[in-house]
Amino acid sequence: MNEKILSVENISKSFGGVQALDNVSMEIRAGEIHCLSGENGSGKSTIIKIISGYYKPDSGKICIDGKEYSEMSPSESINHGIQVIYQDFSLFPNLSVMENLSINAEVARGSKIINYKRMRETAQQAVKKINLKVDMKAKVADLSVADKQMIAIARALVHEAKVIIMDEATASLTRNEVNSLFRVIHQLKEEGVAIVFVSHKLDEVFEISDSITIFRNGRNVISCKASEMDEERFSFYMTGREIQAKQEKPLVGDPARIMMETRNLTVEGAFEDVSMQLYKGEILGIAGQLGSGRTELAMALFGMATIKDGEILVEGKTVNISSVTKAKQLGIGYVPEDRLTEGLFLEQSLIQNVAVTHLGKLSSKFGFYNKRVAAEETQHWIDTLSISPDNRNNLAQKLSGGNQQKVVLAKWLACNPAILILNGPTVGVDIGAKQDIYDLLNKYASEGMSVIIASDDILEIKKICNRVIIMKGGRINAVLCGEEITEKALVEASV
Amino acid sequence: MISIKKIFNRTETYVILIALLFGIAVETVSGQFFSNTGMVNLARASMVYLVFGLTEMLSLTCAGPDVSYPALASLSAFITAKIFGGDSYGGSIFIPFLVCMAIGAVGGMINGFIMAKFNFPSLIVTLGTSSIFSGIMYGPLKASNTVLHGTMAQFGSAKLFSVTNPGSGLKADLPLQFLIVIILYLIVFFLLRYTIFGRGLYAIGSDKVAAERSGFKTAQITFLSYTLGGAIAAIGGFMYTCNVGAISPSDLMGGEMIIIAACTLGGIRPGAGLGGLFNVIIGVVLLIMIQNNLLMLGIPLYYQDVFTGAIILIGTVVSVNSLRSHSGIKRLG
Repeated sequence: MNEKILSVENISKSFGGVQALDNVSMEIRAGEIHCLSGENGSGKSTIIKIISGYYKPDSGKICIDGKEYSEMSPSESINHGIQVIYQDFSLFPNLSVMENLSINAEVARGSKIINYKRMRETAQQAVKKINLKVDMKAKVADLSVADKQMIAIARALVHEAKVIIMDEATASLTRNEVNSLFRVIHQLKEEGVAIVFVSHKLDEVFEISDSITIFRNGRNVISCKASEMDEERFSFYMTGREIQAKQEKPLVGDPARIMMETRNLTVEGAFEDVSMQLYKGEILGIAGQLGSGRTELAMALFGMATIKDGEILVEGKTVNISSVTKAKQLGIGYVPEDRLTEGLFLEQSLIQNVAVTHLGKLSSKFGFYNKRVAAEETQHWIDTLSISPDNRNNLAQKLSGGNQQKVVLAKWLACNPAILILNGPTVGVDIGAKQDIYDLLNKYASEGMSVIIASDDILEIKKICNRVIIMKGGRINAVLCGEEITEKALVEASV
Repeated sequence: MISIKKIFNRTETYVILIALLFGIAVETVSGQFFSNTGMVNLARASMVYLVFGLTEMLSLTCAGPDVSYPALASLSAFITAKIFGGDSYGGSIFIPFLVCMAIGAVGGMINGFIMAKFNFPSLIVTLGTSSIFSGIMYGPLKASNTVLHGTMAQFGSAKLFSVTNPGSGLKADLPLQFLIVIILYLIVFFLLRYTIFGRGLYAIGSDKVAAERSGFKTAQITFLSYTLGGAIAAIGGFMYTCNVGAISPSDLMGGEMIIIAACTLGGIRPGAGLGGLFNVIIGVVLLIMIQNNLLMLGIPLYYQDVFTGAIILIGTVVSVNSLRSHSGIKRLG
């Protein structure tokens, strides 16, 4: 067993009466890849922020290098070799790549004056470590998401890092990029760096980790070696309940009734020559890696792209989905990829959030908004989708990721769309809520709704879709059906 | 590797183009623009605004607009002039200068403290402190117009050099104070580019949370930035008062909008971590050019505001458009 490099003991932290962490202990050893898992709101991010000095714990201590601290400042944490790669990258979009890579080191050094020569050298060394090729003078705002992620990783490597915490590092990477990230992680492990890999993607967790810690409701419910864990136990510790891995047969649509169709659809800079059909009552998958045109196709079907060429047909009629309003009139609903910025009014109540898509229906004939009807309707959806907590006056931002996603679903289901397009429906949603969302989609599809799911989660696609379109490089690379849909086939067609 | 396309993606390019076109128009009509006197007059007219532009730029870069600086500049200059503005003071100009700066710094600290501690929007904070500063000036201090004598008045009228236009025989003076502008710009340039404080300012404006995570002392940097801004605003007030040769407390009031407009035009966006000295200079100079020369183009006084407003809007629209992506996908929001 390697030496202990970092540990937290009996850490508690509460925010305004809510206990985010309750007497949590865990330890990280040199050269181990330690996976930290847990549902949204389980306290994962809180413990990261305590270790990185961003929050002060109410009680407990942090031990590093054999010294004990009751709290740490961000720069102390960095000086002890702790590096966090945040999910949002924490980069400075308006500064150059060079400065982004080296500014943290410069700050940590404690000098008041900037040495640009030293900064350039630091930056160059950092990109060399992961063989990244990037223009040092480019502004980070102009880079792709994957490049931004790589910059964030390279930046962490600048310091003599002993512990690197990666918060959902793979969330926006393609499989190829994940592979190269994993290679980097293994290389760091060889050098004796401890990696804390925060993720709730099961396959990745089992692929890479040496040990696993799972948080639930602010407590550490288990820390063990990865070899002692299996998927069922993992789900159990995450949710505290048994999730039966029901293997329902995906719904088969009615090929005689084509709800939506595209013919040679092209959107400049996104995808070209896409012809596809959506049957009534099916859940159609659109798979593909980041940048394959998957997301953009889903957006185009909802009128959020400028069509360069080709046409879209809804129930056999050529339509011009020039705007979101038009899409709604045609009976199309859309659940966006990024629910925080595109799908929800975070600072408004659930009622406002659910009502917003169909204000017309909730208003009297003179156009006055009927509050009571809206409240009743919202309550109906809260009950149907088992949104928790079930208070319709809650602000959307108070809900966990899974429940937020249910609210986004509710507001579109309330419009009773004939076609529902979901873009990454379970990104950042925990296992329990995921199953609820699948059940719901299955229920509505079996009642005749046609559903399109654009997702990079292969397991998800395999689980609920009977037909899958696989995008690659802006074109349809394959269409798989029924038994053909296997993990292997999906991966092969998308890489 | 600067390509033509890149150049035309920058706000600065358009501002300079507009300024040049405008200059050529004025030159055609009056023949007085691209001359030694024309340039000196432009420099003299822009002088105080360039100083205020620094204060505004600091605030815009890390947080948002600062509307308190005219009141703070007036208050600092007023107190200083009350103490040193009479015949009885014949000592060095540095003492009143430093006193004025110190008063401004204290006022800036109040802004900075509130901003750093409570994290309120800068507009709200500075609206509040603006009222307080001007309230103190008119209330307890009973500010009114007074003519300056002694050192301060001499300093205000001192010339750096004079030029004479060979054609028209007209003369123009560049005040000695212009040196202060140059020194201030050099200092702020150094601070922004070569210190952790300056880079921190951009980092905070870029992404405050990320800046904290990087180990920047964001509260300290914000506090310092407003303190510095206050001191610079006071210098502007001091320069203005000396230059006019009189205390006129209400003169500067309302000037904040024109400076915010100038900064916006120059390509600075509130709280976006964008903003450099060059942006301030081109924005201020363009606006001053327009304000001072529209009459020469035969545009009536009241239409000048319309014209200025239109320039600001066009400049902003062009720069925002140039930042948009060219992909076919429409982003929400």
